[in-house]
Amino acid sequence: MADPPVDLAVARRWVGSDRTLLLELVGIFVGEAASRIAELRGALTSRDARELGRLAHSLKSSSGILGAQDLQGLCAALEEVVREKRLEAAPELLARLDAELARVVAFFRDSAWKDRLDGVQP
Amino acid sequence: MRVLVVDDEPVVRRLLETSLTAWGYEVVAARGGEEAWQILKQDGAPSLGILDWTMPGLDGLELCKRVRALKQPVKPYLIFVTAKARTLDIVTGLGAGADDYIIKPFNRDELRARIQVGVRMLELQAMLAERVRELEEALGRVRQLQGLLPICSYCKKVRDDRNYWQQVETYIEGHSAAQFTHGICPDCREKYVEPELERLRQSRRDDEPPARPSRQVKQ
Repeated sequence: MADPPVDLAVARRWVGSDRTLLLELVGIFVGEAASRIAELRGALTSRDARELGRLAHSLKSSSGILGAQDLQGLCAALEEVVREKRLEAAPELLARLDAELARVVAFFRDSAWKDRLDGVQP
Repeated sequence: MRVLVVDDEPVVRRLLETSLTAWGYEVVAARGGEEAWQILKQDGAPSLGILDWTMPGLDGLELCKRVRALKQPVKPYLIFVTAKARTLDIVTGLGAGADDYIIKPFNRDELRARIQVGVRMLELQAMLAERVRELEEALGRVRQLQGLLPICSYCKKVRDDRNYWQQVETYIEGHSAAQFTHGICPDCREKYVEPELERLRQSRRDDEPPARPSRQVKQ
């Protein structure tokens, strides 16, 4: 079985003991996931490098806070590709990013993660 | 104290908002640079701003430059909180007028401590501004006694700003914190008071009834 896409210890470090805040942040993240991917695809289709870079940068911040480290890494890689003007590498990266985001969203949609939260040391 | 949080990423914005509220600040949140600019350019804007750099439209750097170009007497304290981590970014951010720079992912305790530094700076700034205001007021009072003052060569009355002739002491009392207590100098005592006293003595002598010996002569 693959490693979980989210390191809950990282998320706990951000919110401390504020469980409600973490649930709220996860809610925001999951709720925006679909439109994020759509925006990223739109920017790539219109070859708007600046917007693509900005969107990747933005998603990097929130995935970092929630402990979705692989997703954060893919966002950083996409940002890097845009900065180095290697847009030809972007579609493949974006496909991987899309798949990883789906894994993160699935992780948070399964309420089992909430039960594990209390056992996690920040 | 009111703090403005600007970040286009809702998760980050919410995290900042909740943390700052828990630390006792009153939070105003903006979703982007343009919205933040509308808030910061008003009178009574929050005195401390936490800015993301990378935002659609007006970015944090441009926002920072615009705020610095405003002519308010007390400038807001601006902190960049951004993932742009290269030395050149930090130099550019601080060069645009930011007071501090924190790299994402940030540590919450560090952020809290740096905001407290900002609060200390703002308090110091406000205290100094108040002292300057007091000093300017005092200086204004002193200045009222400077300049060319028309004075009568004979009676020494002074012409005031509204073209009235006033006694010197009335003028000075009106234009400064000085007050007068009246007395007589030795020269004036000799020149005015002694002759006056002499005149009084004289008139008293004149009013007295004729000396007794002369009456006795009459009788």
